[in-house]
Amino acid sequence: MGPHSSLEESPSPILEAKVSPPRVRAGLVPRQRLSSLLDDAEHTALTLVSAPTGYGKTTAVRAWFASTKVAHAWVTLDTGDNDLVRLWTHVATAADRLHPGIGKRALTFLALSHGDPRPALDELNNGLARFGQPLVVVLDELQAIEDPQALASLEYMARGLPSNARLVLVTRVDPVLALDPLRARGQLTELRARHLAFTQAEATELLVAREGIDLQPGEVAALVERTEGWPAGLYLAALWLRDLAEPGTHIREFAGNHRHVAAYLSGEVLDRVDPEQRSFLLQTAALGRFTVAMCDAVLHRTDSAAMIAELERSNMFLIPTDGRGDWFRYHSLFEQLLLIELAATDPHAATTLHQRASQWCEDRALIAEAAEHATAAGDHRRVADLLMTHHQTMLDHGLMLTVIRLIDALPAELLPEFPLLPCVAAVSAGVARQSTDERLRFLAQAQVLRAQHPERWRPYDEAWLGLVRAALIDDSVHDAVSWGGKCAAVADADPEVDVMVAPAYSVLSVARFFAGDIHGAAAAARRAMENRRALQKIPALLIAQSMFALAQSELGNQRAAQEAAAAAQRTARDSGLSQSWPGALMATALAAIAEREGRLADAERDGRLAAELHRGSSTAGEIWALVLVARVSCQRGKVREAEAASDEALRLARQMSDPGPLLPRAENMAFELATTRARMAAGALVEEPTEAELAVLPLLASDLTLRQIGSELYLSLNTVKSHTHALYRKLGVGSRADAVARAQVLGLLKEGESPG
Amino acid sequence: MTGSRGNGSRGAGSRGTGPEEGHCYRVVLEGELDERFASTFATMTISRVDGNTVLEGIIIDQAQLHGLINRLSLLGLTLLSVTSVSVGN
Repeated sequence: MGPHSSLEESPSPILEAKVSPPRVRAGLVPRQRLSSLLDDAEHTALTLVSAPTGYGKTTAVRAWFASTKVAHAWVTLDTGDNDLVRLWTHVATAADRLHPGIGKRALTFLALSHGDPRPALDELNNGLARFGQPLVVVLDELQAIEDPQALASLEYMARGLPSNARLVLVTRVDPVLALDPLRARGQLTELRARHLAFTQAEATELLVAREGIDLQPGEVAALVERTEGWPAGLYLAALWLRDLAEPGTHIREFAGNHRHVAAYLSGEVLDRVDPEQRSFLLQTAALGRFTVAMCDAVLHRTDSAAMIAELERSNMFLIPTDGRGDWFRYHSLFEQLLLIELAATDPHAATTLHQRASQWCEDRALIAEAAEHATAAGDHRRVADLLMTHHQTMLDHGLMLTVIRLIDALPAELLPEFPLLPCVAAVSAGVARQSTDERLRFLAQAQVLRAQHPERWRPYDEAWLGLVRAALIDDSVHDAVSWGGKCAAVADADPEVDVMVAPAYSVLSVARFFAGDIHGAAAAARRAMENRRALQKIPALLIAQSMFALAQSELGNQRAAQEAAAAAQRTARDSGLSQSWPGALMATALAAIAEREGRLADAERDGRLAAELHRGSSTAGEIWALVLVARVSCQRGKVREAEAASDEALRLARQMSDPGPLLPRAENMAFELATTRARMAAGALVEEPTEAELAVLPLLASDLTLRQIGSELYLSLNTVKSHTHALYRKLGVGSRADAVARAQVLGLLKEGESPG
Repeated sequence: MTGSRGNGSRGAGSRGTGPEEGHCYRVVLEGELDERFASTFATMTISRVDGNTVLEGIIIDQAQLHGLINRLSLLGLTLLSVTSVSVGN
């Protein structure tokens, strides 16, 4: 285990960087012309800033915000955002930072999206509308989004954008969106290369006024023509010309040859900086993202602080990437040019630098970065070693997706030496609620390795395999219990692996619960929570707290259940795990507790969330939650919804080879619902209120008169009267106050809809 | 043509069949790129013609071709043409 003092690897700083406006390097020329163009586009919903690299797209939009002070939510996209839920989670998170609450409901809807993001996007647009003030949503690096579904969702969101909101898309490549109709209606503003290119006046501002280079207007014109006003080219030209005695001569030479602008200029700049600085530039470019301390260690220097300060001062395309100014990178174009130069002059340097950087990162517990550098060095064995040493810490910090990606990228011929890694990937896929197929693929890999190389298969590997098989129950609850028992036995047998106690006992608790052993589940959950390492094993802790709450609730110990559930909610909130599979168990516990307390609306909501979060991870968990949803919906008079949940629970239970008590549970529920239906048909039970009648209900709880209720809902007084009387009849009451009271008992009124 | 470089067995003049399926492509970029860029396009030959740069080589499929074009865009290079050329004679 690496030291725990520096945990920049936790996912929040990455999210932070994604949903914060990026920093721009110092020493840029302000371009009022571009800010004015963006101001003028005020009346168009969509602005497309589309130009090749080095045109200052991001800079132009950032500078505009600095001058207008308009509220804005900024998301820097990457290829991971081709996943719909990830994409809109980032956008809603950025919007929520603008004003807490704007994106919150959209985030909740995303969790329940079933792959259809439209309800969540409607909510997002509602949230933006509620903000009331003009606001801008910026999607930077949009070229990373290529998935047709993700692009379609963006079109949908743009169509529903409220009038106070604008969308600014910043991209290197025109997006595959239906923009022509918007163009035709004048609803699209475009900033393209021809707008972003430097004018003669802007080039004069940069080269003459700012850099103090002694140039005639004709010489500036020659540079603008040769570079076609490409901003990156002109900034490179400024670096090149500022120390030259006769810049005009050099410009004439540049104008008269055919070499590529960036290649020519970067070559000239690098030829002229002093050899120390040149070597520093090339070597740091290989590191990608770097700090002063990292440069000192990896480049074997002691003066990196001074070197970096000098590069910043001289506008060498250096960009700070975090709020504290600790981490830097180069503008991506300049970085590419530096890397080409490094590969040409010292082909093996990059590999050595990546190896040292990997070690430096590992020493600072930056395991994901250490693995990236090892991958860049082509050292897959080191990646595997890093994962073998640090998989526990990485999962404790929520880096499931990183772990999966790294293990997936390992060459197949290496895996027989590291049979544990597919097991770790399967656990990660389960916790992070990746697809069932992905989990089963890793499980199959693990089982092949276990069969082929039994001599390499350690009890520890078996315990990890057992974690998946016990926790995520697709097929047999009793197999799950026996796998959970194996995990616990491994954890108990070797005090050295007591890191396994909390994970092993927490999954044993899950398996026992769904197999019907509630007392055993509570005991195992307690054992997991009381382990001295439990506080570091965050996913396991959340599982144990949730299972303890669920078991206590089933045993009728409401107080103990509530305490454990509250602890689980704190764990989930602090770790961001509420949308994970352990979060599904927490939602299950909250639903069970709410049902026992008669808070039926809460129980239904949490039960549905639990079923959704379990889907694709654990069939057993989904069945249990669906039966709860069916029972609660039925009590709330929503018989059709109850039947749908019950049918699904029954279908899933029948697919399992050994569903244990889950099948009778689902069958009993189906039987109860059939009985209810029969009684309804016989007229013994009042019928369900219609949607139109339910719409009147919350207003009956207010002080409004029936006439006022009618005008609120755009209904005639007679219609309101007829809905009200139908409600009285169906609720079996005779007055407005009794109807409200009865509706509250039945959970037909949501919180906040009742008076007071 | 000056300074043609690259892996001869996969260059423009080699056989277009065999284990590597695909077509030979000729990509023309604006401006002259020097030898330093050869490593960036390791599987393509790089040459300079009439003030422009010509890359030639086997591209195994459309995904690889689009990847190459994306790489050119990251380097800020201006694409003038992409053509499929026949090989083997």
